[in-house]
Amino acid sequence: MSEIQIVGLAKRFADVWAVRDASFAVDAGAFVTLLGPSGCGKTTTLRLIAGFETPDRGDILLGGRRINEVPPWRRGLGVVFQSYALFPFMTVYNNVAFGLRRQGLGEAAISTRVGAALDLVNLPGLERRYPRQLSGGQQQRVALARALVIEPRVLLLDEPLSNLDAKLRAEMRDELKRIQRETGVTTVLVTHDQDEALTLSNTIVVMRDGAIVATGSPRAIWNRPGKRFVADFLGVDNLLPARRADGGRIRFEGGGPALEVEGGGAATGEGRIVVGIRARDIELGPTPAGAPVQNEIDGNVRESIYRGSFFTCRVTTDAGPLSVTTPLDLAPGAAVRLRLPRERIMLLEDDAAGPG
Amino acid sequence: MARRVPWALTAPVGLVMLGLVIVPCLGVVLLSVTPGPNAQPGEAFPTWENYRSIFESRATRQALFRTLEISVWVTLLAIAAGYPLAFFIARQAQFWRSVLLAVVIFPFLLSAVVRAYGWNVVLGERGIINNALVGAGVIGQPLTMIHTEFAIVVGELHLLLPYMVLAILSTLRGIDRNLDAAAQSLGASPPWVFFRVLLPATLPGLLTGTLLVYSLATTAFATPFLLGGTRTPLLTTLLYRHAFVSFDWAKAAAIGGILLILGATFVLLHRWVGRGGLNRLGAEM
Repeated sequence: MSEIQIVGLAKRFADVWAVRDASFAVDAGAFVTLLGPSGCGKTTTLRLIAGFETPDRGDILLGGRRINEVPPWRRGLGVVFQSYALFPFMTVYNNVAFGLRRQGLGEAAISTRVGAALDLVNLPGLERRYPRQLSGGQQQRVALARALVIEPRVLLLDEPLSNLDAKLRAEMRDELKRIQRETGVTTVLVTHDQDEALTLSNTIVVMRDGAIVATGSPRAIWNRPGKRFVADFLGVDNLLPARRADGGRIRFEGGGPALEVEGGGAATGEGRIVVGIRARDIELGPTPAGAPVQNEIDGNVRESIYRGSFFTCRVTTDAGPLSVTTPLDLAPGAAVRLRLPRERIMLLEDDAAGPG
Repeated sequence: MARRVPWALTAPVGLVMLGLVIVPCLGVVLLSVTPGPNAQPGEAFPTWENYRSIFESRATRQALFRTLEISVWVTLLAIAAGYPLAFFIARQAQFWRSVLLAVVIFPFLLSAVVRAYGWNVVLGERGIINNALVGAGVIGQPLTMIHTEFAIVVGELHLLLPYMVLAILSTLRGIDRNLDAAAQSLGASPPWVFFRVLLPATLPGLLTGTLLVYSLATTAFATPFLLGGTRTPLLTTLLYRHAFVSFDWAKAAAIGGILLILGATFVLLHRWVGRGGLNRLGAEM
């Protein structure tokens, strides 16, 4: 049973469609991430679900009931904002208690639940502090406690980690995972960070220019991005134009040998094809004697960049330039042989121009 | 060393304040308890005669109450008009915010004379409003608006509204844009959001604006002088008459002393309300 269902949702600001014809569903207890670059409509979609914006078209269903006209204060959804939006003139206690006071609970019950919520986010003992006396990470936890304490039907998170530094972000990401698991609350996260999306979600919805371009599990999105844009956004290093050749093989537009591929790509239709392969999936070795066999390409190292535990090599080949990671410290000009494993090659639909 | 430099840096402004504000204020206070030109024989320094004669005269008592009345009206109207206006401006896009801000600040750029003349054109016996109302047959005789308390309130509001708007805007800028959305998601309907979140969050700016507008309204001179005429004297215009028409500087100084007390009382009251009010709402300055 879907807790949230979005059907043909569209929202226009002036003459720009911020969201166009978006549809997806969130199962009860699931963690769904809206992933995309800034301006892709993911935050607008979240604000539409929360009720801060009114859709121009389409429906929002909560537990099967249409809630388009229900004002935000009657939706019972918890929201955590990128800026946290804590009430600056209230103590931590009063911030967290705010939603419970609206429900008309007694002070004893409020006190118990505020305490439990602050325990849940690992922030006891700071009840009497004001938000400006807290660090960014602590403010984040208060915002989370304030949203969770009302036991919302759905928790909406708008880029909640993007104002934290890298170390804290990783820590809070794991915290978020734990808290979601402990509470089992249905969650919709908006982020532009693929790591957050991959680690936290059951389902990732990739958005671009207001439209949904891919929906799937983290594994599916990672292994079969399907479209050039999605692959690029997920950091697939090598994206080269190609065309279909005989025998189910493909040939790069730039030249080089025909490559064998297997179900790695869902690209069909008339569009041009793009071949994608991650730098870490290409195998690199010194050029041995003898001609390259199937799915092998010879090339020369153009540059080698030290990355700590590995090197990123830019290799010039007949097919075009390819990025490859390797533990080998190779000098520029070194001759190398690359193997592109057939199961790692992704066939992608070329959607470079974007929709509409 | 590092602690001493900031103090040294305040010396220039400190000297200016001492020479141009504190010393003259003390001078006014001393002058107000000195026997004036109309003093009875036997009066000696210090005397309360100047103050007593002010409160004994019906005209000056009226001017005092009128000053308070007009200042309170101007302050209340500035809050009523300035608060929504500040919110409206804060929610506009960058371009329109600059345009609206320029419009709000515009009265500052006009001289008091030009502003007063403008209001004469609007409010006069044959002004825009009267011509329109008489022409439309709504009223038979032109309304007397110019040289009334109404004209003074309008003129001062026009001048002082920017202080209120700017004071509230400055606190609004420091407030998270999603504060009301956060409150709504927690079950607060718009009235709750306003009284429990937005109002307390903007209270510091509102109090600053109130202080500025009220104290500037009680001490305004040019606007009530030009728009109120001689029919509706305020303390400031009366002070002017004593100082430059009848040359009774002692009595003028006593009126100045009363204005000083009014101002100081309001500042203290304002601080007391500010702390108490914010504490009641679970806030702090």
